[in-house]
Amino acid sequence: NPKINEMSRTSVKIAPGAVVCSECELRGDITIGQRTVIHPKARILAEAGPIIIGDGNLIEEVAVIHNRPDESNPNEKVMIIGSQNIFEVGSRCEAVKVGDFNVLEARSFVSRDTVVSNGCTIGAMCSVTGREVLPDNCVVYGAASHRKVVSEKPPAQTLQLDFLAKILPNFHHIKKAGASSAAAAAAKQHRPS
Amino acid sequence: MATYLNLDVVHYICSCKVSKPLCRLYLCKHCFELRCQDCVLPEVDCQYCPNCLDYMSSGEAKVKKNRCSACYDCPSCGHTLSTRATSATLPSPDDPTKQVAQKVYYLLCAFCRWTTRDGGIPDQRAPSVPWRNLAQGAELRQDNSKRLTTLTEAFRQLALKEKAEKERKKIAVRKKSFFSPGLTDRYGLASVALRKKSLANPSHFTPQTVDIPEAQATEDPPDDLDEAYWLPPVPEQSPLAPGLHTRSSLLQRLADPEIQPERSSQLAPISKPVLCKRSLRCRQCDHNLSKPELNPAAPKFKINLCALYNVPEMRLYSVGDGEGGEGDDCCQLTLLLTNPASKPTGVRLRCLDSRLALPDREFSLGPCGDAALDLDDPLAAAGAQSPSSEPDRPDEVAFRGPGRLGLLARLRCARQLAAREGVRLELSYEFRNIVLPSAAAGESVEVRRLTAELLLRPPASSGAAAKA
Repeated sequence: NPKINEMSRTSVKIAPGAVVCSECELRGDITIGQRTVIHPKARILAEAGPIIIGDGNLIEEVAVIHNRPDESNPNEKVMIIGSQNIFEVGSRCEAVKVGDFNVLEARSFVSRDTVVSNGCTIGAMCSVTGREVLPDNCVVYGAASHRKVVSEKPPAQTLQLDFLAKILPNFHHIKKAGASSAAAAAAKQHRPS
Repeated sequence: MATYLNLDVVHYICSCKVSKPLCRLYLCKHCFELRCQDCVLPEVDCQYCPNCLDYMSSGEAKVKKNRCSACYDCPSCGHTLSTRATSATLPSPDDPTKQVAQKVYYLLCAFCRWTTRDGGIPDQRAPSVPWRNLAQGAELRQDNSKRLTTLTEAFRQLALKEKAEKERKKIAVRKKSFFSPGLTDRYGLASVALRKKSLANPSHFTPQTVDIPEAQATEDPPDDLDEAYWLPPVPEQSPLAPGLHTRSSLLQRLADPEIQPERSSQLAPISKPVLCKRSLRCRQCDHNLSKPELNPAAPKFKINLCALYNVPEMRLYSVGDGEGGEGDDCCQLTLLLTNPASKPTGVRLRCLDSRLALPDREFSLGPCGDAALDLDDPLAAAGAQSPSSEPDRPDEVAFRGPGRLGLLARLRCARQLAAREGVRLELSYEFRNIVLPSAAAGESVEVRRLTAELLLRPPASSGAAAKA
């Protein structure tokens, strides 16, 4: 059963300074960089291979980052996400390579074939599914997913990240920094508390 | 209630013989007739900006060319632009040598992320500036408007001169003897004669010749096309068609006829067009049927004669299966009558083409829900009993509520026929007309019996009309 294999392989490396709520779903081999904030109910599924998330990312509720197994290319592929990206509520990212300073607005979808470069904004409910490299500072918007290239990248949300890093621990359990795996977590549960 | 929003089931017949749902009609309380949108004359009250809700009179709007002075639309997608602030280090206005962090403003579209920086407009120090005049090519547009004003002035003078010539010709034809002051002074016409004489000689008012200033070319036209006009060469791995993103789309170009930008760097914020607040007037008697408040932020009305507030509304409450089932005749319908007024009214329904069997007597409807709460008697407030002395018969009345009455009716024809052609009914009701105070008495209420013609089209299959 592949799911059992995944669960036993769940190993999450959380860098110091990252705020990862316990209620998010993390499956597989995941590395999370510094100052990244992951809200509860976010789902990061490293099914076909490990996911490496960079620094200063913001992954909001119900966002899904899924390294989905691909029948046409069964080799394990590492999914690399850069820094200062924002994955808004309900966004779905299956792209194997995501750069820096991108914004995936609410309920947007990026498929596995697309390579997201830097500074792109995928608008709300837009889906990008072509086999292509998005140009830098590209904006996808509108019901018909119009494209245009803007002159500058979206601003970095450092204020928001700092605020969340202060507030979230007051209301949610936070996963501790460091490496952890499912086996160690299971062992903790069996120990009398 | 499945037919809650199904506006096509019950139509009221307007005075122009068109059938419309009641929510689209007005009741003229001077002609005592229903009026639809076509029987009504719209007038523009004032213009307002849909973004900042700033309202202006029609004269003011004409000067501003029907645009808001403060709000702008995105030239790329048409959304409203919002003002954003960033801080930048700039030489401070007091002391040019020092660099101080200051707030600078720019416009941003939240939908497509177009900014004024993309249009080549530098960030401004104040949040509200005339952004459109700062765009590229603004000087060229201002030169055009100057030329237009000189031309309009010259043509206005020409028109004056031609009008004076016409007057002179008219006067020159008549005999002058009637107008000599000696003869006409008896009737005080000397001043009139003098005025007409001065009009006949307009030389000291307008110039004899009006010359229209020639246009002057600002610069020599280029010999060959500018290098920048041509699209950049195709880069190797560009996913977008080569350079296509530097061109504006046709919709973007047509949205701004003043500039007609060909490149996306020429896109400039578009001043937001204003919308109008209109009042409606009955074409027959010229009285106002609907007059809103001038302030667009206030959704109240000064005069609101919507038919929904004055005429009892009839709805198809449910279609019960008759003894024979759906497709048969003798299908039983429940009709809901609602009283919109705050006083009880008497209604009577009559079928005009004998396709529906209705109880043929007058029913009284209690006041509507809000007013019923003021009544002392809780039972009367709930409207559970018939307000009049006659008790309700169970084969006529299905139920009662505050201001509501459910009547039982029986369809006498096939349901397909009723759905296709409809059943014509006549509703007569009491209308309480508040007559404005006359000199003698105070405000008096005049009760009139009005009738309205209805067209009922019950849906053909019971799948469409699910029971409530």
